[in-house]
Amino acid sequence: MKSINEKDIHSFVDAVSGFFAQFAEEKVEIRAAYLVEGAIKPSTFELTSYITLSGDYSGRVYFSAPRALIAHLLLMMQEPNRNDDRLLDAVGEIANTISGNARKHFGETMEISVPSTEVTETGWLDTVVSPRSYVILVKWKQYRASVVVDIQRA
Amino acid sequence: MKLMIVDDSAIIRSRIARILANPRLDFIRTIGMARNGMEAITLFMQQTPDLVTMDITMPEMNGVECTEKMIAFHPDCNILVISALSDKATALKALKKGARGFLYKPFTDEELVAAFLELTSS
Amino acid sequence: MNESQSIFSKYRKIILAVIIFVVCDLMVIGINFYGTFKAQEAAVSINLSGRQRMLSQRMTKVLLLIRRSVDTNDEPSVLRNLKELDLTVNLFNTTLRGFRDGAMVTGGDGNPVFLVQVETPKSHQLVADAYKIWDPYFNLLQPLLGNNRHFSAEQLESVVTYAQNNNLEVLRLMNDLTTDLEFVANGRADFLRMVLLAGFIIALINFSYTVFISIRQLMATDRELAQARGETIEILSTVHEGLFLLDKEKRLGSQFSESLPRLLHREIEPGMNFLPILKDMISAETYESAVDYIELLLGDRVKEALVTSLNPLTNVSVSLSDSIGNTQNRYLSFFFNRVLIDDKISHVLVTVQDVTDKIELMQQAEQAKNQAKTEVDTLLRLAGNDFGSLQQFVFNVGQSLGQINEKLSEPIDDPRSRQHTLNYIMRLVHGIKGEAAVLGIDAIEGYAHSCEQEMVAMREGNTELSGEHMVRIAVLLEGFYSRYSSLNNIVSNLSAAMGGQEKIAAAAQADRPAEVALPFVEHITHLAQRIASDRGKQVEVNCQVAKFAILPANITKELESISIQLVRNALTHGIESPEERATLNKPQTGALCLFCEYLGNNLYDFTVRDDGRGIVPDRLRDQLVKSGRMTVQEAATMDNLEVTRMIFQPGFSTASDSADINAGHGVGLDAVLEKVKGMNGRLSVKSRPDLFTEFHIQFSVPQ
Repeated sequence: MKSINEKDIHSFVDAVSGFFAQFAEEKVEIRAAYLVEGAIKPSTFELTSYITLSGDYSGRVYFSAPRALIAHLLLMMQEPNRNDDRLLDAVGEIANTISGNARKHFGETMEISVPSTEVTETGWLDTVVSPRSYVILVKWKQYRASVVVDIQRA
Repeated sequence: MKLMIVDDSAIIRSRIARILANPRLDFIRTIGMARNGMEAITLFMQQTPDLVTMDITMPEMNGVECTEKMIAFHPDCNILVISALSDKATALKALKKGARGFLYKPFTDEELVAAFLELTSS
Repeated sequence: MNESQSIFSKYRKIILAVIIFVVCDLMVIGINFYGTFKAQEAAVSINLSGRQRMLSQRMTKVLLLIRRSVDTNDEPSVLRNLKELDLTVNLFNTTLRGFRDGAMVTGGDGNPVFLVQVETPKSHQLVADAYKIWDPYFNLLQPLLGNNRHFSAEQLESVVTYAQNNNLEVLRLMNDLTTDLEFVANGRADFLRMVLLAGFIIALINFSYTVFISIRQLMATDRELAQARGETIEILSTVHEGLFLLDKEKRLGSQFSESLPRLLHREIEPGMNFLPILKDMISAETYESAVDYIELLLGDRVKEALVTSLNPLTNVSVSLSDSIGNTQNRYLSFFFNRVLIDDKISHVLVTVQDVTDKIELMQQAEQAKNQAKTEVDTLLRLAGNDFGSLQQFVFNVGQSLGQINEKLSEPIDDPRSRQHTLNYIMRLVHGIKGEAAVLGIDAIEGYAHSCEQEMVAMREGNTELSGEHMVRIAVLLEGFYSRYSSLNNIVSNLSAAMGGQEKIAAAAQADRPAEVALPFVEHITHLAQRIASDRGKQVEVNCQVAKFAILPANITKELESISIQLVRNALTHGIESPEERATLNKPQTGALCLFCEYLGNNLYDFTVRDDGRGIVPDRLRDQLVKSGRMTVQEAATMDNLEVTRMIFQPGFSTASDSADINAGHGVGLDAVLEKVKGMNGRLSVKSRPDLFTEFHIQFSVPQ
């Protein structure tokens, strides 16, 4: 039985917003929020990071973004090296922020894994998330990204 | 008397039609059904029914607008608004436009029969 | 008519009294009139009988004077007294005759007067006695009458002697007559007085009675009025409800219950405008609705009984501030009833109740009810519904939720587009709610209702619609999905249970999925929509095939393939393009209906009906000629039935565009006919030009 609410979801999205807010004035904006159901699939971008939760709630929270977005971020962090390893590091850092916020939001009883990162192909998320996971499409500057919340109450 | 049913739900349309088989309502004849306001107006112009059951929330044209147009065309028409609408204000708007009565969804067979009898009493 | 009758009965006693009064008066006046006349007559009689006394004495005196004058030879005196005697005798004689017979006589004043006959036996006797003396007297007098001086001394002496002998007797008789006449007259006067007195007394009694009745009636009316007023005041001062009347200007009437100011927490004056009072207590939206509602009731367009459910002031939360400025929240219910005078709406009677306690109890009960709500309840309720409707509902909900999710998945960057999305979603949710309500599926209806309310609040709210709002809607949608899936499970179980009840051949059942109808509905609907969109047409599919759940698999399989062909045909040949339908004044969306019904005796009917152009024999003839299957003459010689049968011939097609993949391949109804024959069924077709085509397949299923 899934019973997370919009506050739970916002705690993840806000973590992403907060991360970007350190480097740029532009806010992260929500463009759409929907469920993975039937033909409606999550959007997978080139780089994806995720954390795994267990405890009162269990499941994963994914952050997926195109290379260009992360590259732009590194540029703003004045990081000259922008190879895939650096990009994945940066994506992992975002997942870390999500993890911190989740701990604050759900309390210390939750076990939260260290972030994993992947270079992902289109449709990758389709294969890993369960039906009726939440998909939040976000925008930062001209770039798109997605947060996918696949969590159930234990 | 000629009746027209206006509702975007097939289940509700067929429910009303079924209740009309009640022998106490044998003076009412269903002459048409419409799924939205536009269809309803077209059919209304052709058939000028004496009775209309009117849904409020419909695509194309809502029930309030539809009621207004029907009354403008045929002021003696008896329109019964049938809706599950939670805000009474919109239903009252339809009545202000000239509908004669209102019935909440869900309704029992008996409620609809009584409403038709009341509507057609002089 | 009624009114005049009631007026008569009300005043009957008074009218009777007046009639008695008039009759009495007339009688008294009549009697009085007659009495006065009689009194006049009596006066004449009394007067003249008195004169007779005097005349009798004068006669005697004159006779004595004549004798003395004769003795003294005073001739002039003799002649003078003879003349006097003549007058006196004549007058006495005629008067006495008048008393006896009634006659005109010379009155006391010298004028003629009518003297009536005496009435009493005593008077008659007196007159008769007088005549006994008078007749001889009158004879003796004869020689002296007529101024005749030639009478003898003997003649004079005999009459003088007779006069002297009888003088006293005559005087007595005349005296007695006078007395008797006076007695009669007095008696009559007494009677008249009695009559007048009686009349006066009757009139007095009658008058008193009339006055008494009138006063009693007036007092009764006053008492009733006073009592009625007393009751009104008593009611108004004892009822707990606030009661008052509103006129067309929405002003309070002059009387209202004492509890009203307490209920409304404010001073109330007669004639106050109700609307400002109301406005202070409730929200602006509720107030606006309330004004609309009151105005509708004061107008005569709506049916009162059919609008009471829209009363926006039942169980309404009000904020009441008292004189010292403390604000208190209560729940009040205002009920409005039309007051009709002569069938016209004159006022609205308003009843106000404080329902705070009731609402609190209801809220507690509601909580308890929600806690007790179990899946079993839902199951029982679902079992009461027509299974086809239920399956259709589950299918519809699934579709609607999918549409909502699809809409939500479209990225949006501006509030205005979000508004459109919200409206679209609200319409779908509203549709689900309506259908759930009809089927009595509380769990879905209640959830849809709360979603609807929340979305109304978003739409009407002060802040622009943001991405956060969209997240909230996604959460709401998720809640919807979880309710939908439990309903779907229940319906599947129910479907299996129903199959068992019907005791259908177990072997055929064993390896069939329980809910075969659902894939069929989905399949046919999808097919119809695809063909419709390929051909630029619009269609609504209505499948009522719940009976498929109890039919053997081989039959449903055949019916499905028949359906596919008939649906293709309907969309290719039957249903017109939206433009064409518009010119025919039909709804632009065509209707395609599939029904499966049990007819009894193991016999079933499966119907596929479209509201398209129908089967028109003349068009079929044209088609047969155009395809070269017949000559014009051959086609013309066939009757309509024969032409219609041709549609079941192999290779027949009326499709105008034969390149279309959906029809026109010449394989169609002939294949359907083959399949129906294979099921040992009967195929029939009904149609009306431009209205509909209906294919019926009847078949039996052995037990």
